[in-house]
Amino acid sequence: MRLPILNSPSGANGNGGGSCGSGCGCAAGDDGPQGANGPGMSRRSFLRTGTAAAGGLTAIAAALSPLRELEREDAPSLEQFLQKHYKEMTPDDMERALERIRAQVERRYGIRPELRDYKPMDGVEFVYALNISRCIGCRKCVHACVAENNQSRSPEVQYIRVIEMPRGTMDIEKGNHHYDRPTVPDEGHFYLPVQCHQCANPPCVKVCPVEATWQDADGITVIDYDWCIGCRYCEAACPYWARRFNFSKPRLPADQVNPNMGYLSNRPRDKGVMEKCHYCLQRTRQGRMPACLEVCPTGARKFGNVLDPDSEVAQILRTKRVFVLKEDAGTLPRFFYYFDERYPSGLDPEAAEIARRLEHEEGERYGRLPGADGPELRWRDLTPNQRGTLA
Amino acid sequence: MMPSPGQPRKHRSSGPPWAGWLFLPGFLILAAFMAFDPIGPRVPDAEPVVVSRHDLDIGPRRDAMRDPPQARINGVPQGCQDCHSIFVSTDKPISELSVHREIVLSHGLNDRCFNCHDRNDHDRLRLHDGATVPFSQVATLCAQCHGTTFRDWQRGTHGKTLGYWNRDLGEALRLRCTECHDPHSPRYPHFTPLPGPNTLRMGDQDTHGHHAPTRHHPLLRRIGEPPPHHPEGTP
Repeated sequence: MRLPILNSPSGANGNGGGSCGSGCGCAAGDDGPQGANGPGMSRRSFLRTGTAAAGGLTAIAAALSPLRELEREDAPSLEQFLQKHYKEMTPDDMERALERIRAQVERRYGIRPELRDYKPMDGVEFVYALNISRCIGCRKCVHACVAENNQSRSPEVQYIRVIEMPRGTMDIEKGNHHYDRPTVPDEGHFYLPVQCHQCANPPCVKVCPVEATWQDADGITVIDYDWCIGCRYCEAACPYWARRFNFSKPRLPADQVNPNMGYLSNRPRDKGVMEKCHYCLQRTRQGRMPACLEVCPTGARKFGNVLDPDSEVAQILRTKRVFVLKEDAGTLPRFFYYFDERYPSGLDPEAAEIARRLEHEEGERYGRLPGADGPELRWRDLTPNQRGTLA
Repeated sequence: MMPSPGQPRKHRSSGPPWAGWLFLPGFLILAAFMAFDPIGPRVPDAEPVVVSRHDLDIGPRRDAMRDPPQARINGVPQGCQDCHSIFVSTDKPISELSVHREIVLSHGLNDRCFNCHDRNDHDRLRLHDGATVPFSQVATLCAQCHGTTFRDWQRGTHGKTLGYWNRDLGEALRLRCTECHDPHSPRYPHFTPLPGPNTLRMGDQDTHGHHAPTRHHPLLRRIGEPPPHHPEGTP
């Protein structure tokens, strides 16, 4: 009897069959009564080899035992496995993929979704602007986003972080995600919501080894959840901590599913893929506003097409003081923070006092402001004194 | 004793002859450990936070006064002129009024009704120059003092816009001053923040700034009291 397992590499040394040569590490050469040159394997050697093999095989089987927990849904269907890259799919391919996802959502959540593949609109480049003078840190945007975009409720996946920052610094290391006050805003702090900045020079896209994420024509960086391999390079590359990974199976209660879904946006994700803010493209590519903006109680969030000179965001970029986060990273974000020059939301007692004085003294001195009853306030019509009052 | 050159070398280099057998129980223990997984999931999933739909309303924050204005007197809607065509109003500061005591006037130094309301036609508002505007054009009134804010509102850089960013696909709904601000107490109210993030990876941040540890601190929850929000026990 010959077992090839413990054969030495020097099996061709001429002493026949499976017996050990003199250089090998096994003990067969001197243990068995038949010695190294015997015609078969000794009983002891056989037992040792057999039990070692059994133990090894058991270990391998146990190592693979997590596969027992795989559910049918975890494995891609053949159709999904053979699906082409998003950019190579024909309209027919896409329709088949959409139908497959619709059926999958219906199977999992009992809801027939309105799933479409929303394409970028011509002549549109989306820009977000956020007024940090007005943000009060109420976190409504965080939860409206979760409700809109079908994120996992547990484990928790959220696209927006609201950081409570001490006044007088922009050092994010000093910020606090977990503030839990009875009421906000707090006097000594301001609030800095951070989400995907949809960079024009996105590091997350550059590092993706499989091109599962890319920047669309309207500036939104999207992810194809069917193409992502979950390597998390993009999460490491993003300077804004905008990308989220589904470490385990997303839990989404069926009664909280938003049935208005986009292929590249808020369709339910699987375990092991990345996701992030996509400016609610299932809404914004239909002309609507993102969910985080609609829910904001202060109007601190502004969204629109920066290529339209009359849009609110274009006005903000022209007339307000704006900054981007981590400008030195060279990412060219499409998410701008801005602030009001005066009237800082009444939080600063000194500034509020100045504002009160100006409202009364100067308001009376100048009477009705130019343009108060007209469609537009024309800066060039003002006297220098009036400009000083307004600016 | 070193082996002589002609003798086959003993090929066990070190260790007693039974040492190799130690691998077997090692393998088997490892196998049992992995197969039965006695430790289980290292980070149990937190119970999801519950946010009511009411907290996520998207409409105007408050109902602006309609035009012409109405007040509910004993549950019956009444126009202002219904009473004020009979009752003459006074110039006294609001603290000395005997009616309209429900109005909290906290608007800068304003303490008199007729700074903004028209003395004769109570359905209209009065500007500094004596002209009157209807309630629907309240922005004109506000602009007299809040010029920069009015300018920003005209440009769309102040205030909330609902509806569509794309005017070709749908209408934009610009909210007016009094749909967010109470004209009598225009300072924005404070809000109760919705629950914070529940992720372990964000680490020990809550104690920053000498604030007490909070219920959203996932690490303290493990060793401390059960959280008030999710008594089922998040990690």
